[in-house]
Amino acid sequence: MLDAIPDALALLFTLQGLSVLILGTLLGIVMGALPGIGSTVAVAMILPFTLTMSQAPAILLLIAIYAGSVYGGSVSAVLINTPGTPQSAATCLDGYPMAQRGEAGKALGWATIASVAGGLTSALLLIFAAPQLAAFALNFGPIETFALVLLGLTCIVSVSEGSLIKGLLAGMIGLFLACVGGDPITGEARFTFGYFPLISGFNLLAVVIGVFALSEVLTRVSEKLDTAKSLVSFSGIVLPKLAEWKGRIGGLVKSVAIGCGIGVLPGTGAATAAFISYAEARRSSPRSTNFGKGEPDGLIASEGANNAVTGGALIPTMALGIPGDAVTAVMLATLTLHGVSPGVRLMADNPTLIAAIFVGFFIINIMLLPLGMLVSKIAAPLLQMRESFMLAAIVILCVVGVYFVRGNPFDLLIMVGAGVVGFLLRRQGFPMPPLVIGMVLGPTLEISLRQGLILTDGSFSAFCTGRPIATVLALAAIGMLSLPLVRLLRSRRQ
Amino acid sequence: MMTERTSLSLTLLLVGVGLFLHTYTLGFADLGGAFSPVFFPRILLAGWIVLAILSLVADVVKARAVTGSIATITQWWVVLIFMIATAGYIALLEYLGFFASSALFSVTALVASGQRKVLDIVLFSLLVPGALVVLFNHVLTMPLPVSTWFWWI
Repeated sequence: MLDAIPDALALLFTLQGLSVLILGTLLGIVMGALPGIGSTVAVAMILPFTLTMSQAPAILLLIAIYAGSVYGGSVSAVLINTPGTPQSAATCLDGYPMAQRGEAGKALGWATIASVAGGLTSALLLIFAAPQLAAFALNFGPIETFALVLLGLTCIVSVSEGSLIKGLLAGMIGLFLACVGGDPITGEARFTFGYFPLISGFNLLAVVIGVFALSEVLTRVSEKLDTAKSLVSFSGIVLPKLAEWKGRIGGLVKSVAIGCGIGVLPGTGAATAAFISYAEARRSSPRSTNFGKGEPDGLIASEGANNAVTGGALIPTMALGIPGDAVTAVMLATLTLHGVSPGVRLMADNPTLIAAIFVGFFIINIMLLPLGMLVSKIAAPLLQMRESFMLAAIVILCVVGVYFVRGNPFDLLIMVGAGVVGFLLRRQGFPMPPLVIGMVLGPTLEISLRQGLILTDGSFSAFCTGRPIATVLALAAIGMLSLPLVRLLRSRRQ
Repeated sequence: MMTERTSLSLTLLLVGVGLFLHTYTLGFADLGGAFSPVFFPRILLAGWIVLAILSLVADVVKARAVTGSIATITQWWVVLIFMIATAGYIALLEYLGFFASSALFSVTALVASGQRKVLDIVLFSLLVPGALVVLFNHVLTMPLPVSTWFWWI
């Protein structure tokens, strides 16, 4: 991959490349700061507009929005005590108390430095770890790929908040939706009921926007809409002085390590990392009694970890083609829409693209510092915007986005249908990320299973005998699936 | 006890069963094993049915355990208006064009969600679609739908 870096740099240091990085980071920070949008909705909303771009700028724009939005969530967490993204929920605990005592600028300064440190470290980990993992995965045949995708699907267990059964059912629905349309081996139409537009299947983009963005709008409309929030006094980010870092570097290193480690695990997510890191900092910090009252150690723990997750989550996504969380599932969908097949050959077949993504991700995290300082001041007044205006704007942007891709009104119908079904399912406790993960991984799972069975003359037992990698992956998948049962048994015993 | 939650689980179960049965009506269903286009969907649908049954049972047990009904939406009518407005927006998009249909949707959605400041509503409904028209039609030169009535925008 190192050989591809000069080509990647040539791709990045063009007017389009740099514009995409700057614009994406700016947009990400603003969208992340607006409560209710969040990283997944932000990425889903911008996704259609990337389809006119070439592969590298399109993916980089989404990654910039992802990294920017995770950081942007801290702006509203500190200034209005409402996390812009779930990842920043732990930031409220110490960020807002600091802001209340007139130190909003300083709180955001600590958050910014911790975010940049977390993001940069995870970018380095991504650059060095992903190629090793991808090189190993090149030995995979259809059976190993099937076992790998199965392991990837087990991240549904982790992203199924509330009910595991409902999460698995949502994943199953997603897998089934991916089957609608032409059969990948014989080409026969399946589940189209004679309706011609369904022959090419459900448009992934319309479904993603429907279940994430539109269903979020309907969910928020169904609750009492917030009135404008009051803003604490804020005149810009104040970076902490070097002397103030004394005794806090260790905490930053620990939170970044927690974020990177958790990010690599499929489905665990930045919110979990932020809370685990916060709990660890509270346990080990010499200033633990100040936690919850505006202690910078708490801010460092939360923001260092949640930004470190971004690079970690990209490792299984880029190296193995299995998503680390809902946002990376949308990114895999983007790759598919751009004609790049996600999977174990992703890095081998597209070295320049992947190198550009890795280097671009590093640059994005460097830019978080100046752009964060610039945008937080501009974005602060936006936080007072009434929610109903924001929701109406989201619907208009969703319609523009989906229509703009193919100019096909049928895609808009799919979006609205997915939005309404998503709203009804979410209302009854069905998580939506499993549905999209199922839809993204479905085609690879089906093809690898059927190819594997054809190779083994229909023998399922041959999937495990004499294939150590597949066996280990399948055992890991079983382990992941049984984790909730183990937790349940342990909690009952306690 | 039939609640909103159990009704949804039951609907999902019936849909799963219906789709599973449908796989036997397809002309190519008798192709052998992994070659069959319905081989993989049948596995999925069987899983769907099992999970839907488990979900239904869990919901029924929960409905019995919980006294009183599940919290109801206080703003159902706003959601319904939003859904209808979005569907209408899409239906009118090609007839009225992007600008007019977006403005109409904005007014409906904002009034339904409780906004009463006429100036704010009018400004938002004109400025947001207007800005998008300028961006897409004139800056990016990727035209949004235009109607015969509002071709001049």
